[in-house]
Amino acid sequence: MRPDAVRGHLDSLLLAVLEDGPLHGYAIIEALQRRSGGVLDMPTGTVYPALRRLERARWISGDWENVGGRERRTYTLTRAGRRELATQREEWSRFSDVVGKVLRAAP
Amino acid sequence: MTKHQDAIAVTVAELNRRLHGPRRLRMDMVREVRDALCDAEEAYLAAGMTTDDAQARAVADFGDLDEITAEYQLELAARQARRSAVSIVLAFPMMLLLWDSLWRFGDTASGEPTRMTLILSDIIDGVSLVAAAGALLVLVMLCLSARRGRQSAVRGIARSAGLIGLATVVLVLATSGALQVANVSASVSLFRMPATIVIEIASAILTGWVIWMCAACLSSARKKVTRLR
Repeated sequence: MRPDAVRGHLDSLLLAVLEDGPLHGYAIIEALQRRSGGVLDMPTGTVYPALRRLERARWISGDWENVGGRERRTYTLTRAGRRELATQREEWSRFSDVVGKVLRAAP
Repeated sequence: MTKHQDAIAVTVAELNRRLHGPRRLRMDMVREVRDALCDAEEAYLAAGMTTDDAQARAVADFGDLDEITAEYQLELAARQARRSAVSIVLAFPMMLLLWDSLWRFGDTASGEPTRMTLILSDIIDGVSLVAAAGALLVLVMLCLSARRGRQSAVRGIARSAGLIGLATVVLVLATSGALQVANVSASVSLFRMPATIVIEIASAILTGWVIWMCAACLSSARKKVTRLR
């Protein structure tokens, strides 16, 4: 999948993988790859600044925490982030429905 | 150290060299990137790669350093803008309260204030409060621009924060100077009070804080950002 195509949806993807609980940066990247069945393959370096931006948006909060004996910057979905994820999910579902209807080959 | 260990170290050092802005956040970002590269390296090692190859892949996967630096630099500019805005929101209203209480309760022994005094002090009050409101708007804009993915707006917001702070310092200092000249006798008696000296020092510190934050803000907003989406 083209990285540019993913980029427009990076925010919702990041919020979605944090839905189940706090994760550090690399675990977020692994979760993105795992949940996409290995199809999502963007430069890992783009994820980290995006996480900082989502922190500025107050959708996630980041803190250094001890994970498996190592200090790692761990990100948690905030309440505002959870609400945003629900909104983006709904928008995506409507959008993909509409585009799907148009793109589907006529019977 | 192998060639590829050098490559990871070089990537991290290069990022560190390119980023400008609040030191703690900058160090935090660099540390996180170092961790990220180490995590990726470990994953490749676990998959059976040699150390050299694992490190080379980790650096390659990380992506274009120009692009990543540009994104990080915007976050640093945004953080510095936030710090400037906070300094403006706190410093000017605080100075207003300090000086107002002194003029109100201090023994100025000058009777009713003149019309000029009232106008000048209204200007200081107005400028300080407008600046504080502008800084609050900056804080809101920083959050909104992040939510809407408007990264191109960050430098403009940061520049605005810096200019609001510095312009307010200049205006307030000039008006305060004029106020003191217009009330020489009251000013002289005020300056004999120990409380005045304390407030002078506090104001100097607060003003210095705003100038420092805002100058740093303009500087980090000026840093060249390349390949912005």
